[in-house]
Amino acid sequence: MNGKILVCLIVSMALLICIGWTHAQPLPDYEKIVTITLNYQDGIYKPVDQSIQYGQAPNLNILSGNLRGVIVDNNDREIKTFSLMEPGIAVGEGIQGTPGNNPHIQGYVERTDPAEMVITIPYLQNMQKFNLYDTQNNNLLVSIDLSPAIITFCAEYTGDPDCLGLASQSTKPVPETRTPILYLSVFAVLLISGTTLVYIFSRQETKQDIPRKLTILTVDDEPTILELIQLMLKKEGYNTISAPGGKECLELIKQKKQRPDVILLDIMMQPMDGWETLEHIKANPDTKTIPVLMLTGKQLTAAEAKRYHICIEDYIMKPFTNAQLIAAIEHVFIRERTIKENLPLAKKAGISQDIYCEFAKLSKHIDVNKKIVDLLQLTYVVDESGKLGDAEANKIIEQMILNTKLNEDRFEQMKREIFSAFAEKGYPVPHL
Amino acid sequence: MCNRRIQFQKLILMILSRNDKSRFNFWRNIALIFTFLVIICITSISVEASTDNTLTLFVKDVKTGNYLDGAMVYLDGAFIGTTGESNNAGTLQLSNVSIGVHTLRITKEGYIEVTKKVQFPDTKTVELTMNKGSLFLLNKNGYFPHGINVIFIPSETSFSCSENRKLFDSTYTVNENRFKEDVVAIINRTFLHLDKITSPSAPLIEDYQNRFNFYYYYNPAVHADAYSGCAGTVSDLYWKTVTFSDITVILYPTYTGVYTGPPCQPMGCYKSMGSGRNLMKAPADSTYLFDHEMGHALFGLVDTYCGNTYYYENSPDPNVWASLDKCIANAKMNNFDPNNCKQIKGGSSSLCSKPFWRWDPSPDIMETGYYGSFGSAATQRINYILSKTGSA
Repeated sequence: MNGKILVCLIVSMALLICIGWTHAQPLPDYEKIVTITLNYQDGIYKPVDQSIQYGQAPNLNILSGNLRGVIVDNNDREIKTFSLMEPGIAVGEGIQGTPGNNPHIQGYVERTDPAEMVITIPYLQNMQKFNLYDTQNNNLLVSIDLSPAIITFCAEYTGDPDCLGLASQSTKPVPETRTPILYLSVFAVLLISGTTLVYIFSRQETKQDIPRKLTILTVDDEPTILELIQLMLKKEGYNTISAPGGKECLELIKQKKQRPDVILLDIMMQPMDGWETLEHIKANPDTKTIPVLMLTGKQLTAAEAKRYHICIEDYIMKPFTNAQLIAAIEHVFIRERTIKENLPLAKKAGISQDIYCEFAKLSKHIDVNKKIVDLLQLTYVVDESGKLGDAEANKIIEQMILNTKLNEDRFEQMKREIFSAFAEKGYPVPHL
Repeated sequence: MCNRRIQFQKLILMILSRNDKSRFNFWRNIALIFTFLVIICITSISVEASTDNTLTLFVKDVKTGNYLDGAMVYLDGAFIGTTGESNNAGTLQLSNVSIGVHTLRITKEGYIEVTKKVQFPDTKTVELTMNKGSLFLLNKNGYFPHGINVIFIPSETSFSCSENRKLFDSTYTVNENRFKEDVVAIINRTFLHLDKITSPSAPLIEDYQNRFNFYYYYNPAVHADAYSGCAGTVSDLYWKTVTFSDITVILYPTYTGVYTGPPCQPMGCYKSMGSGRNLMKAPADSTYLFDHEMGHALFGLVDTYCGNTYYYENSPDPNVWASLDKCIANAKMNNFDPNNCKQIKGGSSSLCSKPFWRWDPSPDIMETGYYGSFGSAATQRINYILSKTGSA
C-alpha cells in the first residue's frame, strides 16, 4: 500500500514539475503583420508593395478617419473593417499671442501630394483581399489581392502553422537527396546566369543603340561668348542650344522638345537679368528641376547669395577654362546619375524615397553653399586684419556657415543610417 | 567511373564463365555476387546513416559576447526550442534537418529579432548575434493586451520662431534619463490625467488608465526630427522595428519665442500615414497643446475653432457635424441641449465660417489649445475609443 502511495506521489510530482516547466517556457510567437504600401496622387491610390513579416499589428479598432479599410476572405466576406485617415494631410497648430495678451490658436494645414501610405494590418486566417473605400460616397478606391504576399511568405516559412495548408503551393523546393539538389542547383544557376547575361547584354546593346546626347542650353546676351561656350561644349560631345536673353530662354524651355539637361545662365543681361530668369525657371513646376549653373564676370553679392543659393547648382566665374566649365557640368550630371542609380537600391534597402531625396538635396546644398561661402569670403575680405568689410554681408555669411553646419550634421546622421542600410544589404555605398 | 563499371562487369563475367561449371560453383558464384551486392548495400546504408543531420546553433549578445539562453528558435517558421535547453549555454541543437536552404528566426524579449538563411549541410554550425532593442515599456503594471500603444521618441531639433529657424537641440539626444523623465511627466499630465480634463457628464471608463501601453524609443543613432515637415519625421528603421504603434509622439523640449503664424513652423502637429503610422509632435512644456494634438492623433477629434485646419464628421460619436440638423439630432439622442449646436465661425477672424457645427461649449481644448477641457461630445468620442481597447 505504502509502495503504491509512493509511486503515486512520485508520478504526481513529476507531472507538476512537467506542468511547471511547460508554463515557464514562453509560448511560440507566430503573430504576423501584412504591410501594404500605397502611393496616393491626385485622389488615386496605387499599390506599391505588399509583404508579410513576423510582428505585432497596431489596434485597428481605435483608428479614425474618412476612409474605410476592409479585409476580405476567400469567400468575399468582410472579416475586418476599420477607419483610416486620408494620407498627405498634416494638421498643425501654434498658439499666437501670449498669456494675458489675447492668446489664440492658429491652424496650419500641410498637404503632400503625392504621398506614401503604409497600412499595417494583422495577418488573419483566410484573408484574401484588402479594399479601401471612401466613407463619404462608398467608392472603392483600391483593391489589393493579398494572396501573392501570402504565397511568398509561406514559401519561406513552410513550417509556420498558418502556412501548413499552403505548403503544397509553396514555390520553395525541399529536396530530399543531394544529387537532385546538385543537378537542380547547377541547372538553376546556369539558367539564372544565362538569363541575367542575356538581359544585361540586351540592355547594354539597347543603351548602345540609342545613345542620348545631353543637351545644354547657354543663355548669354554676348554673341561671342555664346559662340565660344557652344564650341567648347560641342567638342565635348554635348548637344547645344542657346538663347540670347532671359525671355528667349523661358520661351525655349517651355517647349518640351527643347528641354535642356542643364542651363548655363549669364547674370548680367538686359532687359531680364540672370537672377530674374532663374526665378521664373524655378517658379515653373515643369522647369524647376532643370539644374542651373550661373556664369558671370561679376562678383557674387551676399544678398544674391542669400536669396538664390538654394536655386542654383554652381556659380562659375568668368573667365573660366574649358576644363573648369566641363568639370562643373559633369559634376552635375554625375550627381544626378548617382542619385537615380542608387534610388532603386535605397528602396530595396528599406529607405523611403522621401528620405533618400532629402539626403540627395542636402548633399547638393552643402556642396553649393560651401562654394558660395568661399566666393563671398574672397569678395568681402578688404582689410589687412582679414575681417569682413560689410556688416550685413558678414551676418549673411555667418548664417550660411551655420546653416551649412546644421545641414552637414543632418547629412552625417542620414548618411550613417543610409550607409548602414546599404551595408546590411551588401550594396555599394552611394557617394553623392 | 566508367572504368570501374567495366571492371565490375568483367569480374562478374569472369566468375560466371569459369571452366568448372558444376552446380556447386554456380551457386558459389551467385553467393559471391549476392555477398558483393550486400556489402555495397550495407556500405551505402552505413554511409547514409552516418550522415549527420544536426544543425548546431549558438546565440550571443553582440555587445557583451555572452551566450544568450532562452532565445526562441524557429526553423522555416516552425518553433523548434529555446537556446540553453541542454547544458550548453546559448546553444540549441536542431535535429532531423533536411538538406537544403532553411530560414532560422531567433527571438528574445528585449532583443531585436534575427533571421538568417542557412544552407544545410554545407553549414552545420551557426553563430548568431543579437542586438538589444531600443524600445522600453514604461507601464508600472506591465503590458496591457490590446491596449493603446503610445511610443515616445526624442527629437534632435526644436524651433525658434523669434529667429524663424530650426534649432538642433541635444537635450534629449545626449541624455536618455532626462528624456525618460520628461516622457513620464507628460504621460502623467495628459493621458493619465484624462478624468480631470473631460466632461463629468460622460464619465470615463473607470480603469481607463490601465488601457495604455506607454513606451519610449531610444536609439543613439536614430532620433526624430520634429521640424522636418509639419508633424516631423522618424527614420525608416523606427517604422520597421515598431510595427504596432497606435500613436508615435515626437517630443521636443521647448518651442522658442511666440508663434506668429507662417513662415514660423507650428508648435504641435498631427499626421496619419496609414495604420501604425500615426505621428504627432509636441513640446514637452505645453500640456494643453499636447492634449489638443492627442485629441487629433488618438481620439480622432476634430478642431472646433475656425481657421486653416481640417474638418470632417468623425463618426461614430462625432464632436463636429456636417449640418445643423445632424448636430441637433445627435444632441437630442444623447440628452444634450440641442440649442447649444452652433456653426464653427469667428475665432481670430470675424470673416471665418465653416460648413460644420459643434456642440461642446467653450473653453474646449479642441478650440483653444492652451486651456479648457474636453466637452461632453468630445468625451463621448474619447470613451468610444477607450471602449475599443482590451479586446482583440
